[in-house]
Formats: sequence, C-alpha cells, structure tokens
Amino acid sequence: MSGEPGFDRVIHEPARLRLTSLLAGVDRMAFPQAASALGVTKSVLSKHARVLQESGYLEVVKERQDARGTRAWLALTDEGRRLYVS
Amino acid sequence: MSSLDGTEAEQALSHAAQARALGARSAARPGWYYLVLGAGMGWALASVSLDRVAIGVAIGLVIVPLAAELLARQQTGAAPLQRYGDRSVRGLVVGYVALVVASAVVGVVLERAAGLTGAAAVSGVLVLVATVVTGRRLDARRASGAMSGDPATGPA
Repeated sequence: MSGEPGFDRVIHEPARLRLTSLLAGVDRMAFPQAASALGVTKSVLSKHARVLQESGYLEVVKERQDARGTRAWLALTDEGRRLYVS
Repeated sequence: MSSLDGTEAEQALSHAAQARALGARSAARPGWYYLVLGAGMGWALASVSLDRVAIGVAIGLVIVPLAAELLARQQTGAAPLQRYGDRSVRGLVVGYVALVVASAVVGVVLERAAGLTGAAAVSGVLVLVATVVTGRRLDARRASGAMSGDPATGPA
C-alpha cells in the first residue's frame, strides 16, 4: 500500500487527497455536494470513492431522503481520518 | 501512480487545504438552524411557566432538534463534525452548557419554589439567545480551524 514511510498511495493520490481533505472538515457530505465542491463529475467521484472505500478509508451511507428516493452520504472512517491527520 | 515532484506535491497540498476549508464552510449550519434549536430549548423551559412540561419537553428537546437536524442536512448537503471536546471549541461548549444548566435551574427554582411567575420563560429566552450566539461562534471556529489546516486546532 505504501512505498515510502508516511506515504499512502491510496489516500495521497492528488484527487483522492482532495476528497479526503474535503471530508476531513465534515462529519459527512452528500454525494452531489462533494462532486460539486471538488468540481468533478459524479462518475469521477464515484471511482475515487470506491478506491477509498475498498481500502477501508471511506464509507458510503445510503439514507432514505423522501418519496423521491435515497441520498448517498460520504464519510471518512476512523482509519481514514487517522491516516489523514498523520 | 507516479511519484510527485516538489512543485506537484506542494500544489496537491495547497488544493487539499482548500478542499478542507471548503468542506468545513459547507457544513456550517443554515442561518435559521440555531434560532430554531434555541427556540425549541426555550420553549421547553417556558413550558414550566405554562404548566405544560411534558409536551414542552417533547416538542422542544426532541421533535424540534431532530427536525432541524434533518432539514439542515438536506439543505446544506453536509453535516459538521460533532467533536465538542476539541481544543478550539471546548471552552465555548463548556461555557454554553454551564449557562444553560444554570439558567434552567434558576428559572425553575424561582418559578416553582419562589412562586415567581414567568421566571422559567425568561430563562427560556436567555437560552434561546445563548444558543444562537454560541452556535454561530462554533461554526466560525470550526471554519477557521479548518482553514488553518492544523489538525491540533482544526476539527479533525
């Protein structure tokens, strides 16, 4: 996972570092808001979120919003938050 | 991923800091949030003066906060960090809790024991004002902590 001490290729890749940083300032953020804040398309965000999720740094929580359907929320896991701070 | 050179790494860190500050700003509560939350708490206290404590507490301390939280999250698309023990906000939170508890105790004692009608309602107004002022300061401190990028003083 890491080639150099303190460097994690999953979390420190620039686009994912921006996503991680965005989420480090909040408890959770809705998927569309995160895509808009980072200026990326939903498919690009989805790709990076999946990589972080598979490594256990991010979780996706689906919450019923209203009659229209559910809303996906992105949140750093404790491990993701710990790694970001370090 | 290929290794980053010095300039790219610096740029990546700068973008990361901007993203973190943006996240904290976007999670700030809407303007109405603390007013509604404070009104709910104030209403719960004022219900002592109106002799409607059960319904006052149910509405003011359960229904209103839950509804406000859901609506705020829907409106902003983000939820702020709920870390009230962080160094940057601890003093503010402790002061607020102490003020609310003291107001509630004094208001209820004056109302019930000393027979001073309306004392609990006055405490409720004080709690409303304290909630609005403290909530806005809390959001401001979280945002400035995130902008400083310092994990020790920031919200992380």
